[in-house]
Amino acid sequence: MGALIGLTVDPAYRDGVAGYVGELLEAAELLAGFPLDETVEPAPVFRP
Amino acid sequence: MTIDGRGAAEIAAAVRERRVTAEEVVEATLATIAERDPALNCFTAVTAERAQAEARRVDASIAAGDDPGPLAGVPFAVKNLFDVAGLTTLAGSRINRERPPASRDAAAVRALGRAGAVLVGALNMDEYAFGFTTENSHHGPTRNPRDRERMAGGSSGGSAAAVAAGLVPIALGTDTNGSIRVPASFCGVFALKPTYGRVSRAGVALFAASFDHVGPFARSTHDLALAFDTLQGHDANDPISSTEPPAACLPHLDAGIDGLRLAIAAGDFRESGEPEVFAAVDRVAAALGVDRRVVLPETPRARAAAMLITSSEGANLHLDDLRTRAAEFDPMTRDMFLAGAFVPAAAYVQAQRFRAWYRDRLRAIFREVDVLITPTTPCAAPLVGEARRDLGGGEMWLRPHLGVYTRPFSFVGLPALTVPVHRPGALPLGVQLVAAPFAEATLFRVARRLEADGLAFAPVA
Repeated sequence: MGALIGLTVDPAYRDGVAGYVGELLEAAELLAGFPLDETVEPAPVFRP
Repeated sequence: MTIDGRGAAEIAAAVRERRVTAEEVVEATLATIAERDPALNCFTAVTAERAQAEARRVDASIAAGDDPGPLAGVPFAVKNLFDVAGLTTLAGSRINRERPPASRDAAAVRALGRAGAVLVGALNMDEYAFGFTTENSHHGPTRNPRDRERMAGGSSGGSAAAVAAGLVPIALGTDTNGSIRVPASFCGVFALKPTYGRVSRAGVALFAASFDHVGPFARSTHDLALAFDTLQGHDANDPISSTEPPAACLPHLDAGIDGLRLAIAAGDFRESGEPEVFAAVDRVAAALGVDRRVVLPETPRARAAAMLITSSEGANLHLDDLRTRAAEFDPMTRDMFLAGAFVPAAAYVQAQRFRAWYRDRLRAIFREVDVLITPTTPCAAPLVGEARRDLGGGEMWLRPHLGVYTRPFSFVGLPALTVPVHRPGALPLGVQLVAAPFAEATLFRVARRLEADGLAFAPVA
């Protein structure tokens, strides 16, 4: 994944980053487990 | 007239009535900052020459018989992510020190200046606003003026601490997940995170554009309303600025709370905190005669979605620097920014879809309730450096948890005002008042009532 976005995590930071990535993936899993109707659109504000 | 500890309205009245000059106010303010700030570390820059020049302009305007504005001669300071002409916008970072100085002030700084206020400096914060502590490794931690062993909170820690210490009567900060409300709770001052889009962010370094808000800090509801009324309104230079007409709060400050439907947030907002924070909420509720309780749905998912969006947008903003100079980030934020770069797009979009769902549920609740009462923070100000604590569910990492009660409301852009509940012999605690979009005036009515009852107040530390 890091290679895909051109981001190499220094080994010195890897444990810390892995900890936070783990939390984010848990958050993603919690959200993925919630049923949203197909009609629910994303909420970012964008005015053309 | 001495300036120490005076509020904004009081100073403006004295300046307008020529009982003191704006220049004298600035000189007294600069002297107070020079004397007290070294022990607190609120300021990263003091704009003395600019402040003296602005003060002379205010005095000249009064001498010429012109209206100097409602904030005539009132000193203020801003979190160092606001552009200030002639200063480099640090946003709490080391990397940004290389950037050229800003060529003009941020819109919010200009708005206060047009009202006669005088900028005296820029304030410390968590790097790129990612944090709740202002334990900034580049500029040093900001100390809590009510107990210097304790953190000021963050990310607008310098703003809250400068107001609490009486260095300035008004300061500006930004709030993405709680960065105005958390430090205000820890430092014991009033602060407002307005409705998303209510105050212009033009000229402000962003953290997570979906959630970033600008808002004021003060030691009284009157000064807070005065500042907010000066700031609110549409700005075409901020792409998310609302076109909702401004609704002045100051005229309604003493309207009382008769007819308002108030409720305590129950469920998740009664968990994961020290017992004393729920006691503070209960004291406020009792003073207001409130016993109704409302449970908000899916709060843990709202927090999770906010975390995913924040991390992802923050990482995207700094991706080039994360690729090439990660070692120059603050160790307090670096790993969080790096991790945010790995959030899958599907998770980000799901979080933005959940945001729409959650907004609709909260809209429904706020058709039945005018103001919701919750804790602002899960504890009073922790010690500087404190990393872990048991808040009821076993020991946990403390720093990310400090926004547990603030995050769900910035997630959907609702206005939230934190009032300082002072406790004899103990640190102050914030109680958060939340309302429907653009109902800031209602929040001020409730906050003012608590202030008038003597329950919420913000003495100079």
